[in-house]
Amino acid sequence: MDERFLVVVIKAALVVFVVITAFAYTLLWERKLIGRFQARYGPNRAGPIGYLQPLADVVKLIFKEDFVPKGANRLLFQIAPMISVFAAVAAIAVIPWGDGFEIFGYNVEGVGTDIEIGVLFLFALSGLGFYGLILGGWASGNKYSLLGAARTAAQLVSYEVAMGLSVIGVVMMAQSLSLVDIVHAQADTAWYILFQPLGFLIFVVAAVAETNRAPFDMPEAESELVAGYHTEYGGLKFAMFFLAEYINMIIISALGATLFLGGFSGPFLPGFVWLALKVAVLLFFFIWLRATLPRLRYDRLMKLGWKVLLPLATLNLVVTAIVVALGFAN
Amino acid sequence: MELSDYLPILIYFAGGLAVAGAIFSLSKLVKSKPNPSKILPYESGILPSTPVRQRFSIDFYLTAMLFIVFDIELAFLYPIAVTLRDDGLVGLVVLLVFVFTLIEALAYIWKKGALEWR
Repeated sequence: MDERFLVVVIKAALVVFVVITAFAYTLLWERKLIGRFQARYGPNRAGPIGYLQPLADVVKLIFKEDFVPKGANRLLFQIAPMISVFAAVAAIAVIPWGDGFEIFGYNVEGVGTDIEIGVLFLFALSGLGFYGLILGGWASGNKYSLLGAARTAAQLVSYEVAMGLSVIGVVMMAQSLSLVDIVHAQADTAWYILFQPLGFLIFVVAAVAETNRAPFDMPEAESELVAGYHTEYGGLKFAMFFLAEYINMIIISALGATLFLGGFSGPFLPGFVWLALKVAVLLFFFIWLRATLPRLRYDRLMKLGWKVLLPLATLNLVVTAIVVALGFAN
Repeated sequence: MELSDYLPILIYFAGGLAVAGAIFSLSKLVKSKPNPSKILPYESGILPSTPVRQRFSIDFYLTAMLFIVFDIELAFLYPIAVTLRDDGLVGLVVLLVFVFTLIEALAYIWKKGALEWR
């Protein structure tokens, strides 16, 4: 066995472990913040000021009974959450979290792998993750779930277009689809949020919609669809959808930080600290939105996606193209 | 850039499968004891009276079709975007012609009312 291969495996295991831990504490952080926004404490009983709450939740979820409802497609019902988790975890591979460094004589890259098509790879995996939600909703054999799945499909594909267009401006400026190259290009000039403010705005709005977060959480609107695609799910299968949703949130925040906020680059502190700080800021913004804004109506959501974000993203693309091609941005 | 750069991707795929598989096998620890009312689909406690997989609005299909059109255009835009700075004016003209078809298509479906949610 090649030693370099071993280094990559150990690094992958560590990074996945860190992200899953980050998931648990993002969830706790969200509950605590939402509590503060609503003038209450949030969870504070398990462990010191509630910091063992994720552990307690996991233990509870493990001991929940696991059954398949009548009328469900048994195979798809059980596979669907696994598809979501698989796509979310695999997407970690291309997020760069630091410069390379040396440890015990081995050179370690600060990224799972630096492929030339990092941005496209992330979009492909997020598209794969949708299958989990849609199949799960369809296979449940429940009317609410089916409606939730149909809404999920329409919403996610609508905002996917706007998000893809908003990223093209960054790609034009960095001349690369590799996330590591994009970070370095920003370290040489400045954070792309300065050149692409409109692109960043569209990206953030689309990111909230892509991760099914409030105020765009129509697929799981609890007051009209009970819980949408995961109405029939319980115990650890529900936990899998939850894990996938939060990891997707972390990944998309990391993507936003990498594309527009300089990624892991920054003075004094090591790269992963900078990335974690930027991700934390974006996650806080996600939670803030949830605490502040009411849910949109579904037709307005589609209208926003197709009639506002898509034309704006196209405009941003055309202006960036003219500036970049005529050499004003050198 | 060589093919071995893509090997770590397979390792992360394996990681994703391992996490999903581990949670799935944990979920089998507790034995399922179903009974007729427990496995009933949730419908606010009422017995389901109509078939579950009903027809739903045509708008969902329409949106999916529009998505395919625009997403393919998008996929073609990425390679142009990467080389745009080197291509200069020629690249810009090609890109603008291409984007114009996208804008035209958007204007057409907008006018036709395909973006209205009924």
